[in-house]
Amino acid sequence: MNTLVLLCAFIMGFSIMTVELLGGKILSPYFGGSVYVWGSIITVFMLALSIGYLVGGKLSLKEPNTRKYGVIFIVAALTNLPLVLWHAELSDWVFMQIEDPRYGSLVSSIILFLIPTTIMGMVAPYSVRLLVANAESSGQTAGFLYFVSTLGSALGTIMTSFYLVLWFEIDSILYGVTIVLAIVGIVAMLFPKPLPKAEKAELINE
Amino acid sequence: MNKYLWGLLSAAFFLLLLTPTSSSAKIVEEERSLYQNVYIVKEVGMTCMRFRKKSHNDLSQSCIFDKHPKELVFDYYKLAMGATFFLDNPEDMLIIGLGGGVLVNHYKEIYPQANITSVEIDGVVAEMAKKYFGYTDDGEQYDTHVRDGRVFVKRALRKDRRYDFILLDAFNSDYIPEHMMTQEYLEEVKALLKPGGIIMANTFSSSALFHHESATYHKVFGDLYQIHFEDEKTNRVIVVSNQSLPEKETLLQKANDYKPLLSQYGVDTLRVFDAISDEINWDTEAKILTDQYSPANLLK
Repeated sequence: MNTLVLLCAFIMGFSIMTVELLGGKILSPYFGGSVYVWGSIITVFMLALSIGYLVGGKLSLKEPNTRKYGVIFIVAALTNLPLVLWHAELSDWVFMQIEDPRYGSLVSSIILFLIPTTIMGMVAPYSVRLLVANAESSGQTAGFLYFVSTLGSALGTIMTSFYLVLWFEIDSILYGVTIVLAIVGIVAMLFPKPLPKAEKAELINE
Repeated sequence: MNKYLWGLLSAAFFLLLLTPTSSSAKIVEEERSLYQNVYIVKEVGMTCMRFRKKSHNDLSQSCIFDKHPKELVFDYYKLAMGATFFLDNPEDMLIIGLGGGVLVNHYKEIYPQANITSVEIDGVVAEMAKKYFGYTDDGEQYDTHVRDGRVFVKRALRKDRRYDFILLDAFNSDYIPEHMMTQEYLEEVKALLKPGGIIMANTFSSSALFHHESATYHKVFGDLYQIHFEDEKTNRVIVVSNQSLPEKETLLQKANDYKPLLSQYGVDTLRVFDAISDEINWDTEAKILTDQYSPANLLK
Protein backbone atom coordinates (compact mmCIF):
# COMPACT_ATOMS: atom_id res chain seq x y z
CA MET A 1 0.00 0.00 0.00
CA ASN A 2 2.86 2.32 0.80
CA THR A 3 3.95 2.47 -2.80
CA LEU A 4 0.41 3.16 -3.93
CA VAL A 5 0.00 6.07 -1.49
CA LEU A 6 3.39 7.51 -2.39
CA LEU A 7 2.57 7.28 -6.09
CA CYS A 8 -0.80 8.93 -5.50
CA ALA A 9 0.82 11.77 -3.53
CA PHE A 10 3.40 12.22 -6.28
CA ILE A 11 0.70 12.46 -8.94
CA MET A 12 -1.27 14.92 -6.82
CA GLY A 13 1.80 17.13 -6.35
CA PHE A 14 2.34 17.06 -10.12
CA SER A 15 -1.31 17.88 -10.85
CA ILE A 16 -1.53 20.81 -8.43
CA MET A 17 1.42 22.59 -10.02
CA THR A 18 0.23 21.84 -13.54
CA VAL A 19 -3.12 23.49 -12.82
CA GLU A 20 -1.43 26.42 -11.04
CA LEU A 21 0.92 27.12 -13.93
CA LEU A 22 -1.87 26.93 -16.48
CA GLY A 23 -3.77 29.38 -14.28
CA GLY A 24 -1.50 32.16 -15.53
CA LYS A 25 -2.30 31.31 -19.13
CA ILE A 26 -6.00 31.03 -18.40
CA LEU A 27 -6.23 34.47 -16.79
CA SER A 28 -3.79 36.48 -18.93
CA PRO A 29 -6.20 37.15 -21.84
CA TYR A 30 -8.52 38.92 -19.40
CA PHE A 31 -6.29 40.38 -16.74
CA GLY A 32 -2.88 40.48 -18.37
CA GLY A 33 0.42 38.85 -17.59
CA SER A 34 1.13 41.24 -14.78
CA VAL A 35 2.75 40.45 -11.46
CA TYR A 36 -0.57 40.81 -9.67
CA VAL A 37 -2.19 38.12 -11.80
CA TRP A 38 0.44 35.70 -10.52
CA GLY A 39 -0.04 37.19 -7.07
CA SER A 40 -3.74 36.33 -7.21
CA ILE A 41 -3.15 32.81 -8.43
CA ILE A 42 -0.49 32.00 -5.86
CA THR A 43 -2.55 33.53 -3.04
CA VAL A 44 -5.60 31.47 -3.92
CA PHE A 45 -3.59 28.26 -4.30
CA MET A 46 -1.86 28.75 -0.95
CA LEU A 47 -5.15 29.58 0.72
CA ALA A 48 -6.89 26.59 -0.85
CA LEU A 49 -4.08 24.20 0.05
CA SER A 50 -4.03 25.40 3.64
CA ILE A 51 -7.77 24.79 3.95
CA GLY A 52 -7.30 21.44 2.23
CA TYR A 53 -4.61 20.39 4.71
CA LEU A 54 -6.90 21.28 7.59
CA VAL A 55 -9.91 19.41 6.20
CA GLY A 56 -7.82 16.45 5.01
CA GLY A 57 -6.27 16.11 8.48
CA LYS A 58 -9.69 16.19 10.08
CA LEU A 59 -11.03 13.58 7.64
CA SER A 60 -8.15 11.25 8.37
CA LEU A 61 -9.31 10.90 11.98
CA LYS A 62 -12.37 8.83 11.08
CA GLU A 63 -11.51 5.30 10.01
CA PRO A 64 -8.96 6.15 7.35
CA ASN A 65 -8.85 3.81 4.39
CA THR A 66 -7.83 3.79 0.75
CA ARG A 67 -11.47 3.75 -0.36
CA LYS A 68 -12.06 7.20 1.14
CA TYR A 69 -8.66 8.23 -0.11
CA GLY A 70 -9.72 7.32 -3.66
CA VAL A 71 -12.93 9.30 -3.23
CA ILE A 72 -10.87 12.46 -2.58
CA PHE A 73 -9.15 12.00 -5.96
CA ILE A 74 -12.43 11.45 -7.73
CA VAL A 75 -13.98 14.55 -6.13
CA ALA A 76 -10.85 16.50 -7.10
CA ALA A 77 -11.33 15.35 -10.70
CA LEU A 78 -15.01 16.30 -10.64
CA THR A 79 -14.37 19.77 -9.21
CA ASN A 80 -11.70 20.28 -11.88
CA LEU A 81 -14.29 19.79 -14.60
CA PRO A 82 -16.04 23.19 -14.31
CA LEU A 83 -12.61 24.79 -14.53
CA VAL A 84 -11.84 22.93 -17.75
CA LEU A 85 -15.27 23.47 -19.26
CA TRP A 86 -16.00 27.09 -18.40
CA HIS A 87 -12.79 28.93 -17.52
CA ALA A 88 -13.13 31.26 -20.50
CA GLU A 89 -16.78 32.11 -19.83
CA LEU A 90 -16.19 32.59 -16.11
CA SER A 91 -13.12 34.80 -16.62
CA ASP A 92 -15.02 36.82 -19.20
CA TRP A 93 -17.92 37.27 -16.79
CA VAL A 94 -15.61 38.51 -14.02
CA PHE A 95 -13.85 40.79 -16.53
CA MET A 96 -17.20 42.41 -17.31
CA GLN A 97 -18.00 42.91 -13.61
CA ILE A 98 -14.69 44.14 -12.22
CA GLU A 99 -12.65 46.87 -13.88
CA ASP A 100 -9.49 46.58 -11.76
CA PRO A 101 -7.37 43.68 -13.08
CA ARG A 102 -5.97 43.04 -9.59
CA TYR A 103 -9.32 42.25 -8.01
CA GLY A 104 -10.62 40.80 -11.25
CA SER A 105 -7.86 38.24 -11.33
CA LEU A 106 -8.27 37.56 -7.61
CA VAL A 107 -11.99 36.92 -7.90
CA SER A 108 -11.49 34.80 -11.02
CA SER A 109 -8.83 32.75 -9.24
CA ILE A 110 -11.17 32.16 -6.33
CA ILE A 111 -14.02 31.06 -8.58
CA LEU A 112 -11.85 28.85 -10.77
CA PHE A 113 -9.29 27.37 -8.40
CA LEU A 114 -10.37 27.57 -4.76
CA ILE A 115 -12.56 24.48 -4.59
CA PRO A 116 -10.56 22.03 -6.73
CA THR A 117 -7.30 23.04 -5.06
CA THR A 118 -8.81 22.69 -1.60
CA ILE A 119 -9.81 19.12 -2.44
CA MET A 120 -6.38 18.43 -3.90
CA GLY A 121 -4.77 19.75 -0.71
CA MET A 122 -6.65 17.18 1.36
CA VAL A 123 -4.55 14.39 -0.10
CA ALA A 124 -1.30 15.25 1.70
CA PRO A 125 -2.39 14.84 5.35
CA TYR A 126 -4.58 11.89 4.46
CA SER A 127 -1.60 10.20 2.83
CA VAL A 128 0.43 10.75 5.99
CA ARG A 129 -2.28 9.06 8.03
CA LEU A 130 -2.37 6.07 5.69
CA LEU A 131 1.38 5.67 5.86
CA VAL A 132 2.16 6.32 9.51
CA ALA A 133 2.69 3.08 11.40
CA ASN A 134 3.53 4.46 14.83
CA ALA A 135 4.22 7.71 16.61
CA GLU A 136 7.99 7.28 16.63
CA SER A 137 8.37 7.02 12.89
CA SER A 138 5.63 9.54 12.06
CA GLY A 139 8.03 12.43 11.50
CA GLN A 140 10.16 10.40 9.16
CA THR A 141 7.14 9.05 7.29
CA ALA A 142 5.64 12.51 6.90
CA GLY A 143 9.02 13.83 5.79
CA PHE A 144 9.35 11.16 3.13
CA LEU A 145 5.78 11.75 1.97
CA TYR A 146 6.41 15.49 1.59
CA PHE A 147 9.63 14.67 -0.24
CA VAL A 148 7.77 12.54 -2.76
CA SER A 149 4.82 14.91 -3.22
CA THR A 150 7.01 18.00 -3.54
CA LEU A 151 9.18 16.14 -6.03
CA GLY A 152 5.96 15.58 -7.96
CA SER A 153 5.23 19.31 -7.74
CA ALA A 154 8.69 20.17 -9.04
CA LEU A 155 8.34 17.76 -11.95
CA GLY A 156 4.82 19.04 -12.67
CA THR A 157 6.12 22.59 -12.75
CA ILE A 158 8.97 21.95 -15.12
CA MET A 159 7.10 19.52 -17.38
CA THR A 160 4.17 21.91 -17.76
CA SER A 161 6.16 25.06 -18.33
CA PHE A 162 8.86 23.56 -20.54
CA TYR A 163 7.10 20.84 -22.48
CA LEU A 164 3.39 20.26 -22.00
CA VAL A 165 2.41 23.76 -23.20
CA LEU A 166 4.58 23.18 -26.26
CA TRP A 167 2.90 19.87 -27.09
CA PHE A 168 -0.73 20.41 -26.12
CA GLU A 169 -3.45 23.00 -25.76
CA ILE A 170 -4.31 24.22 -22.28
CA ASP A 171 -7.67 22.43 -22.19
CA SER A 172 -6.12 19.15 -23.31
CA ILE A 173 -3.63 19.32 -20.45
CA LEU A 174 -6.41 20.11 -17.98
CA TYR A 175 -8.49 17.19 -19.28
CA GLY A 176 -5.39 15.03 -18.91
CA VAL A 177 -5.02 16.04 -15.26
CA THR A 178 -8.73 15.40 -14.62
CA ILE A 179 -8.64 11.95 -16.21
CA VAL A 180 -5.45 10.95 -14.39
CA LEU A 181 -6.91 12.03 -11.04
CA ALA A 182 -10.09 10.04 -11.73
CA ILE A 183 -8.11 6.93 -12.68
CA VAL A 184 -5.89 7.24 -9.60
CA GLY A 185 -9.04 7.60 -7.48
CA ILE A 186 -10.61 4.47 -8.94
CA VAL A 187 -7.40 2.47 -8.49
CA ALA A 188 -7.10 3.61 -4.86
CA MET A 189 -10.74 2.70 -4.21
CA LEU A 190 -10.33 -0.78 -5.65
CA PHE A 191 -7.17 -1.36 -3.68
CA PRO A 192 -7.57 -3.43 -0.51
CA LYS A 193 -7.26 -1.34 2.58
CA PRO A 194 -4.93 -2.93 5.08
CA LEU A 195 -4.05 -0.70 8.03
CA PRO A 196 -0.38 -0.16 8.77
CA LYS A 197 1.22 -3.14 10.48
CA ALA A 198 1.95 -1.63 13.87
CA GLU A 199 -1.63 -0.59 14.29
CA LYS A 200 -2.80 -4.04 13.43
CA ALA A 201 -0.57 -5.32 16.17
CA GLU A 202 -2.05 -2.83 18.60
CA LEU A 203 -5.56 -3.91 17.67
CA ILE A 204 -4.67 -7.54 18.20
CA ASN A 205 -3.09 -6.77 21.56
CA GLU A 206 -6.20 -4.95 22.66
CA MET B 1 52.14 46.28 -47.82
CA ASN B 2 52.87 48.34 -44.75
CA LYS B 3 50.45 50.95 -45.95
CA TYR B 4 47.65 48.34 -46.12
CA LEU B 5 48.53 47.06 -42.67
CA TRP B 6 48.33 50.54 -41.19
CA GLY B 7 45.12 51.13 -43.00
CA LEU B 8 43.65 47.94 -41.58
CA LEU B 9 44.92 48.70 -38.09
CA SER B 10 43.53 52.20 -38.05
CA ALA B 11 40.21 50.95 -39.45
CA ALA B 12 40.09 48.35 -36.67
CA PHE B 13 40.91 51.01 -34.09
CA PHE B 14 38.21 53.28 -35.46
CA LEU B 15 35.67 50.44 -35.33
CA LEU B 16 36.68 49.71 -31.75
CA LEU B 17 35.97 53.32 -30.86
CA LEU B 18 32.55 53.07 -32.44
CA THR B 19 31.62 49.75 -30.86
CA PRO B 20 29.82 50.23 -27.58
CA THR B 21 31.61 48.32 -24.85
CA SER B 22 30.84 47.90 -21.23
CA SER B 23 33.77 50.13 -20.34
CA SER B 24 32.32 53.03 -22.30
CA ALA B 25 28.78 52.51 -21.00
CA LYS B 26 27.77 54.39 -17.89
CA ILE B 27 24.66 53.64 -15.93
CA VAL B 28 23.11 56.97 -15.00
CA GLU B 29 20.00 55.64 -13.32
CA GLU B 30 18.71 52.27 -12.32
CA GLU B 31 15.36 51.55 -10.84
CA ARG B 32 13.60 48.37 -9.92
CA SER B 33 10.07 48.14 -11.25
CA LEU B 34 7.39 45.51 -10.69
CA TYR B 35 8.56 43.70 -13.82
CA GLN B 36 12.26 44.25 -14.25
CA ASN B 37 15.21 46.43 -13.48
CA VAL B 38 15.20 49.48 -15.69
CA TYR B 39 18.59 50.92 -16.55
CA ILE B 40 19.34 54.23 -18.22
CA VAL B 41 22.72 54.00 -19.85
CA LYS B 42 24.88 56.61 -21.55
CA GLU B 43 27.25 55.26 -24.17
CA VAL B 44 28.98 56.49 -27.32
CA GLY B 45 26.85 59.59 -27.57
CA MET B 46 23.58 57.79 -26.91
CA THR B 47 21.13 57.48 -24.06
CA CYS B 48 19.54 54.05 -23.88
CA MET B 49 16.95 52.25 -21.79
CA ARG B 50 17.67 48.64 -20.94
CA PHE B 51 16.07 45.90 -18.90
CA ARG B 52 19.32 44.05 -18.37
CA LYS B 53 22.64 45.26 -17.18
CA LYS B 54 24.79 43.65 -19.83
CA SER B 55 26.07 45.81 -22.59
CA HIS B 56 24.72 44.54 -25.86
CA ASN B 57 23.02 46.90 -28.19
CA ASP B 58 20.26 44.46 -28.99
CA LEU B 59 19.17 44.47 -25.38
CA SER B 60 18.38 48.15 -25.44
CA GLN B 61 14.67 48.86 -25.53
CA SER B 62 15.08 52.48 -26.61
CA CYS B 63 17.98 54.70 -27.61
CA ILE B 64 18.43 58.28 -28.72
CA PHE B 65 21.48 60.19 -29.92
CA ASP B 66 22.28 62.85 -27.33
CA LYS B 67 23.29 65.45 -29.91
CA HIS B 68 20.68 64.63 -32.55
CA PRO B 69 17.63 63.34 -30.68
CA LYS B 70 15.55 63.52 -33.85
CA GLU B 71 17.69 61.05 -35.73
CA LEU B 72 16.49 57.49 -35.26
CA VAL B 73 19.00 55.01 -33.85
CA PHE B 74 17.48 51.62 -34.59
CA ASP B 75 16.53 50.13 -37.93
CA TYR B 76 13.22 49.04 -36.53
CA TYR B 77 12.34 52.65 -35.76
CA LYS B 78 12.99 53.41 -39.40
CA LEU B 79 10.86 50.46 -40.52
CA ALA B 80 8.08 51.70 -38.24
CA MET B 81 8.21 55.08 -39.99
CA GLY B 82 6.97 53.15 -43.03
CA ALA B 83 3.57 53.51 -41.37
CA THR B 84 3.38 56.94 -43.00
CA PHE B 85 3.00 55.29 -46.43
CA PHE B 86 -0.23 53.65 -45.31
CA LEU B 87 -1.88 56.50 -43.42
CA ASP B 88 -3.92 59.52 -44.48
CA ASN B 89 -4.07 62.05 -41.68
CA PRO B 90 -4.93 59.62 -38.91
CA GLU B 91 -7.11 61.08 -36.17
CA ASP B 92 -6.75 58.44 -33.52
CA MET B 93 -3.61 56.43 -32.91
CA LEU B 94 -2.95 53.73 -30.32
CA ILE B 95 0.54 52.69 -29.34
CA ILE B 96 0.78 49.50 -27.28
CA GLY B 97 4.22 49.36 -25.68
CA LEU B 98 5.52 52.88 -25.12
CA GLY B 99 9.10 52.07 -24.09
CA GLY B 100 11.17 55.24 -24.26
CA GLY B 101 8.45 56.91 -26.33
CA VAL B 102 10.81 57.55 -29.25
CA LEU B 103 8.33 56.46 -31.92
CA VAL B 104 5.46 58.33 -30.28
CA ASN B 105 7.55 61.52 -30.24
CA HIS B 106 8.10 61.19 -33.97
CA TYR B 107 4.50 60.31 -34.79
CA LYS B 108 3.47 63.39 -32.82
CA GLU B 109 5.64 65.57 -35.03
CA ILE B 110 4.46 63.97 -38.25
CA TYR B 111 0.78 64.03 -37.29
CA PRO B 112 0.37 67.04 -34.98
CA GLN B 113 -3.41 66.87 -35.21
CA ALA B 114 -3.71 63.22 -34.15
CA ASN B 115 -4.91 61.99 -30.79
CA ILE B 116 -2.34 59.52 -29.52
CA THR B 117 -3.01 57.02 -26.75
CA SER B 118 -0.01 55.14 -25.39
CA VAL B 119 -0.19 52.02 -23.27
CA GLU B 120 2.74 50.87 -21.17
CA ILE B 121 2.61 48.12 -18.57
CA ASP B 122 5.54 49.41 -16.55
CA GLY B 123 5.08 52.71 -14.72
CA VAL B 124 8.82 53.09 -14.24
CA VAL B 125 9.40 52.79 -18.00
CA ALA B 126 6.82 55.52 -18.64
CA GLU B 127 8.53 57.75 -16.06
CA MET B 128 11.94 57.19 -17.66
CA ALA B 129 10.49 57.97 -21.09
CA LYS B 130 9.48 61.38 -19.75
CA LYS B 131 12.71 61.96 -17.87
CA TYR B 132 15.29 60.91 -20.47
CA PHE B 133 13.63 60.58 -23.88
CA GLY B 134 11.64 63.78 -24.13
CA TYR B 135 8.32 61.95 -24.06
CA THR B 136 5.40 64.05 -22.89
CA ASP B 137 1.67 63.49 -22.80
CA ASP B 138 0.80 67.08 -21.91
CA GLY B 139 -2.21 68.30 -23.79
CA GLU B 140 -5.66 66.87 -24.32
CA GLN B 141 -4.61 65.00 -27.43
CA TYR B 142 -2.24 62.70 -25.58
CA ASP B 143 -2.82 60.03 -23.05
CA THR B 144 -0.64 57.47 -21.30
CA HIS B 145 -2.16 54.41 -19.65
CA VAL B 146 -0.09 52.26 -17.34
CA ARG B 147 -1.58 48.81 -17.80
CA ASP B 148 -1.29 45.53 -19.64
CA GLY B 149 -1.92 46.03 -23.37
CA ARG B 150 -4.28 43.11 -23.69
CA VAL B 151 -6.42 44.38 -20.82
CA PHE B 152 -6.43 47.86 -22.35
CA VAL B 153 -7.59 46.48 -25.70
CA LYS B 154 -10.44 44.49 -24.14
CA ARG B 155 -11.60 47.52 -22.13
CA ALA B 156 -11.31 49.84 -25.15
CA LEU B 157 -13.54 47.47 -27.13
CA ARG B 158 -16.18 47.64 -24.41
CA LYS B 159 -16.00 51.43 -24.53
CA ASP B 160 -16.38 51.38 -28.34
CA ARG B 161 -13.10 53.16 -28.98
CA ARG B 162 -11.78 52.98 -32.53
CA TYR B 163 -8.42 53.87 -34.05
CA ASP B 164 -7.00 54.66 -37.48
CA PHE B 165 -3.62 53.29 -36.60
CA ILE B 166 -2.48 50.81 -33.97
CA LEU B 167 1.18 50.05 -33.31
CA LEU B 168 1.86 46.77 -31.52
CA ASP B 169 5.21 47.24 -29.85
CA ALA B 170 4.89 45.51 -26.48
CA PHE B 171 8.05 43.69 -25.46
CA ASN B 172 9.36 42.27 -22.24
CA SER B 173 13.03 41.50 -21.78
CA ASP B 174 12.54 38.31 -23.84
CA TYR B 175 10.09 38.97 -26.61
CA ILE B 176 6.43 39.85 -27.12
CA PRO B 177 4.41 38.52 -24.16
CA GLU B 178 2.64 35.26 -25.00
CA HIS B 179 -0.89 36.53 -24.51
CA MET B 180 -0.21 39.33 -27.00
CA MET B 181 0.61 37.11 -29.96
CA THR B 182 -2.51 35.00 -30.15
CA GLN B 183 -5.28 34.82 -32.72
CA GLU B 184 -7.81 35.99 -30.13
CA TYR B 185 -5.73 39.05 -29.26
CA LEU B 186 -5.24 39.98 -32.91
CA GLU B 187 -8.96 39.65 -33.48
CA GLU B 188 -9.58 42.00 -30.57
CA VAL B 189 -7.09 44.52 -31.94
CA LYS B 190 -8.60 44.17 -35.40
CA ALA B 191 -12.02 44.98 -33.95
CA LEU B 192 -10.56 48.22 -32.55
CA LEU B 193 -9.72 49.50 -36.04
CA LYS B 194 -11.81 51.98 -37.92
CA PRO B 195 -12.71 50.73 -41.42
CA GLY B 196 -9.54 50.72 -43.47
CA GLY B 197 -7.38 51.33 -40.40
CA ILE B 198 -3.85 50.02 -40.20
CA ILE B 199 -2.10 47.82 -37.65
CA MET B 200 1.65 47.69 -37.57
CA ALA B 201 3.49 45.16 -35.42
CA ASN B 202 7.14 45.31 -34.51
CA THR B 203 8.42 41.72 -34.46
CA PHE B 204 11.53 39.63 -35.08
CA SER B 205 12.27 37.60 -38.15
CA SER B 206 14.85 35.17 -36.89
CA SER B 207 13.38 32.42 -34.78
CA ALA B 208 11.18 29.35 -34.94
CA LEU B 209 8.40 31.62 -33.77
CA PHE B 210 8.56 33.56 -37.05
CA HIS B 211 6.47 30.95 -38.88
CA HIS B 212 3.83 30.60 -36.17
CA GLU B 213 3.56 34.35 -35.75
CA SER B 214 3.25 35.02 -39.49
CA ALA B 215 0.69 32.24 -39.92
CA THR B 216 -1.36 33.71 -37.08
CA TYR B 217 -1.38 37.21 -38.62
CA HIS B 218 -2.27 35.71 -41.99
CA LYS B 219 -5.15 33.74 -40.47
CA VAL B 220 -6.64 36.85 -38.83
CA PHE B 221 -5.99 39.49 -41.48
CA GLY B 222 -5.38 37.72 -44.76
CA ASP B 223 -2.83 39.59 -46.88
CA LEU B 224 0.00 41.25 -45.08
CA TYR B 225 3.03 43.35 -45.88
CA GLN B 226 6.35 42.79 -44.17
CA ILE B 227 8.98 45.48 -44.00
CA HIS B 228 12.42 44.08 -43.53
CA PHE B 229 15.86 45.38 -44.51
CA GLU B 230 17.79 42.73 -46.44
CA ASP B 231 21.04 43.37 -44.60
CA GLU B 232 19.46 43.41 -41.18
CA LYS B 233 18.87 40.07 -39.52
CA THR B 234 16.48 40.61 -36.67
CA ASN B 235 13.71 43.13 -37.11
CA ARG B 236 10.72 43.18 -39.36
CA VAL B 237 7.44 44.97 -39.07
CA ILE B 238 4.13 43.49 -40.17
CA VAL B 239 1.47 45.72 -41.69
CA VAL B 240 -2.15 44.55 -41.81
CA SER B 241 -5.62 46.03 -42.13
CA ASN B 242 -9.27 45.10 -41.77
CA GLN B 243 -9.71 45.96 -45.45
CA SER B 244 -7.48 45.39 -48.44
CA LEU B 245 -4.04 46.95 -48.16
CA PRO B 246 -2.96 49.69 -50.59
CA GLU B 247 -1.11 48.72 -53.77
CA LYS B 248 2.62 49.24 -53.87
CA GLU B 249 2.28 52.09 -56.38
CA THR B 250 0.22 54.06 -53.91
CA LEU B 251 2.85 53.37 -51.28
CA LEU B 252 5.62 54.55 -53.59
CA GLN B 253 3.80 57.83 -54.09
CA LYS B 254 3.67 58.32 -50.32
CA ALA B 255 7.30 57.27 -49.92
CA ASN B 256 8.23 60.05 -52.33
CA ASP B 257 5.99 62.57 -50.60
CA TYR B 258 7.46 61.85 -47.18
CA LYS B 259 11.07 61.72 -48.34
CA PRO B 260 12.00 65.28 -47.26
CA LEU B 261 10.13 65.17 -43.97
CA LEU B 262 11.50 61.82 -42.87
CA SER B 263 15.06 62.44 -44.02
CA GLN B 264 15.52 64.71 -40.99
CA TYR B 265 15.03 61.57 -38.87
CA GLY B 266 17.68 59.71 -40.84
CA VAL B 267 15.02 57.68 -42.68
CA ASP B 268 15.54 56.98 -46.36
CA THR B 269 11.91 56.44 -47.38
CA LEU B 270 12.84 54.81 -50.68
CA ARG B 271 15.00 52.29 -48.87
CA VAL B 272 12.09 51.57 -46.53
CA PHE B 273 9.80 51.27 -49.56
CA ASP B 274 12.16 48.75 -51.14
CA ALA B 275 12.04 46.75 -47.93
CA ILE B 276 8.27 46.23 -48.24
CA SER B 277 7.22 42.79 -49.39
CA ASP B 278 3.96 40.88 -49.72
CA GLU B 279 5.73 37.59 -50.27
CA ILE B 280 4.62 34.59 -48.23
CA ASN B 281 7.97 33.53 -46.83
CA TRP B 282 6.80 31.51 -43.86
CA ASP B 283 5.77 27.92 -43.41
CA THR B 284 2.05 28.11 -44.08
CA GLU B 285 1.56 24.82 -42.24
CA ALA B 286 2.86 26.31 -38.98
CA LYS B 287 0.49 26.00 -36.06
CA ILE B 288 -1.59 29.09 -35.28
CA LEU B 289 -0.95 30.70 -31.89
CA THR B 290 -4.08 30.88 -29.77
CA ASP B 291 -4.98 31.54 -26.16
CA GLN B 292 -5.02 27.75 -25.86
CA TYR B 293 -1.65 27.26 -27.52
CA SER B 294 0.89 30.02 -27.18
CA PRO B 295 4.27 28.76 -26.00
CA ALA B 296 5.84 31.82 -27.60
CA ASN B 297 8.91 32.01 -25.43
CA LEU B 298 9.58 28.30 -25.87
CA LEU B 299 9.41 28.52 -29.64
CA LYS B 300 11.82 31.41 -29.63
